[in-house]
Amino acid sequence: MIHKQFTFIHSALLVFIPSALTWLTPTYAETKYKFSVTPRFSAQEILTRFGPLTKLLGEKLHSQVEIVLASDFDDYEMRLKAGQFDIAFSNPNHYSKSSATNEVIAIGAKDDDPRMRGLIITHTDSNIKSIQDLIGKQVAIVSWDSTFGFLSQKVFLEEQGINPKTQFKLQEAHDNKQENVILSVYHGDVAAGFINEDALNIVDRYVPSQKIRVITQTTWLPDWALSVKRTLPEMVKARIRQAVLELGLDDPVLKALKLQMFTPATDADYDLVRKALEINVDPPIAVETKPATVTQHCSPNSPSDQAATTSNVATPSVPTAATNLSGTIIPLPVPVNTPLQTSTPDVVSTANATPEPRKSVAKKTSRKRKGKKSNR
Amino acid sequence: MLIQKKAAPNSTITKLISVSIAVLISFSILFILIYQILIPELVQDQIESRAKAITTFFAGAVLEHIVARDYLTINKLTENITTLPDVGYACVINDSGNVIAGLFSNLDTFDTKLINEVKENGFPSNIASQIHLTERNHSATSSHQIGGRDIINYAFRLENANAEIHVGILTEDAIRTSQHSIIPYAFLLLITTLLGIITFVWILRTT
Repeated sequence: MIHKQFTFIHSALLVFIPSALTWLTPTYAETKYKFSVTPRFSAQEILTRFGPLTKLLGEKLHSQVEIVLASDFDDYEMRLKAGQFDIAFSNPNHYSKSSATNEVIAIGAKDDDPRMRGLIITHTDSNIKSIQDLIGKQVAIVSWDSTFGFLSQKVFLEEQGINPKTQFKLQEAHDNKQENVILSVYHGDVAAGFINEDALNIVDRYVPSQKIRVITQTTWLPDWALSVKRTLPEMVKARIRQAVLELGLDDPVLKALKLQMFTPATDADYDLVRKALEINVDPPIAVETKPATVTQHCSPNSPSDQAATTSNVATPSVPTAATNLSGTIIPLPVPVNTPLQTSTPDVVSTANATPEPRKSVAKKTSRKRKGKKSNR
Repeated sequence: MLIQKKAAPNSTITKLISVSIAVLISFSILFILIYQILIPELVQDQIESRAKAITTFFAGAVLEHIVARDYLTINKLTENITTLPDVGYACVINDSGNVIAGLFSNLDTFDTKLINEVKENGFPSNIASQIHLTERNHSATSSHQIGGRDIINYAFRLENANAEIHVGILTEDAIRTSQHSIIPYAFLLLITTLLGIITFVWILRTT
């Protein structure tokens, strides 16, 4: 009898202990998140710039975050739309086209403003004085998809009652380079050019800067989007959001990214971009209740964490809030160590939130930046 | 019996030394004249050959980009050419006389007037006007001063692109370097002559 009891206890322990150990031991090594970037940079530069960010996210998620490189813009867009990347840092164009499967969580800002705008330029000696003078004239653009080398100007001109596609003779710059737009304007091949505000002084070593005149600044549009796949659990999204929003000004991750900060964002921030792209946006796919590709997204530091992982309905228990570019109040992420609720949380109350007021578009009028290269 | 050595008379030694010095001076003058006249010509020939080689290479690299109006690449290639040793400037000018790309290697080494002109209006297109290329004459060389510096300009016409390219090689440095190379040879000549005189005198005094 005693022997039987001992055998039973022994067998129970043999089953229980490994189970308990499995439960207690972090299992993040099994989880892999795919991170990708609009392939505007060389592979080496992508690894240098985004390596620290993926390392940070890996630490926050207790998982491996690997950089996946796309061969070109089309390949990236296709894979982003197909939901092949868990986390992505995309230009506004790519994000806007893929927001059915991806959700922006932050905007990468090069300075204190997460937006950028375009310029319409002409030669100093040109007799073009206003945008009306450009009707029927040759105008160089970066590309039809360029956010700040065409779309920003398109939105602006349409607001002024001008349809650039029909009223201007638009031509894409060779190799879709901002530099070629400016040089075409300088050499008189075209009457005017659409460029990113950041690119205004990009060819100063080739042509005298005083030979290029800005006709007007155009519409502000949001900068690059850090997005996550919509099917990822809310808890994972919250941790990624918090990880990037917490980064301080001198953080090496931001320095590597050549950004000043990440700011909160919502999908609505990119509505203008979508409008400019003339795309019919599919309604976002509803958040699934179980992860599509990731079996376990973080180590079960706490039972509630694990429950949240499996139930996928976790949200911050201590919600705070911030506003996006449109002024909409959005919840800030839950602190990493905060136990996550397993039940559907209360709706974030705007009354309790302490939103940080953002600068209005009207406030931003004339700012001149120098020498930052951008082909967006 | 003591054999007494007969020393050469002092007047003979003096004459010999005088003749030696005269020969030394004559050789030195001849040597310097050869260096001043012949060497610069040889150096100039070499510079022209270099200019031709660089321009031909530049023309091959830049041709398709001119046709495609890829101004950025044209400028980058021009910039690369100006980094080569002794290249003062490189430029691409179209048939309308507009400078598509034009850069100086080190603008600060030219005179202030040119520096100001370039800063205000860009690369001066009148550089091209110093050489007149025709359909028959696809390339030409000219020597002139630009911004206070002596330059050999080699021009090459790109018939298919309706443009011409110019590469200016700075000659002063090369000629100055070649002329400075006379100094060790002059020292060698001087030392050899002095040693010869001393040896000559010593032999005369001991015979």
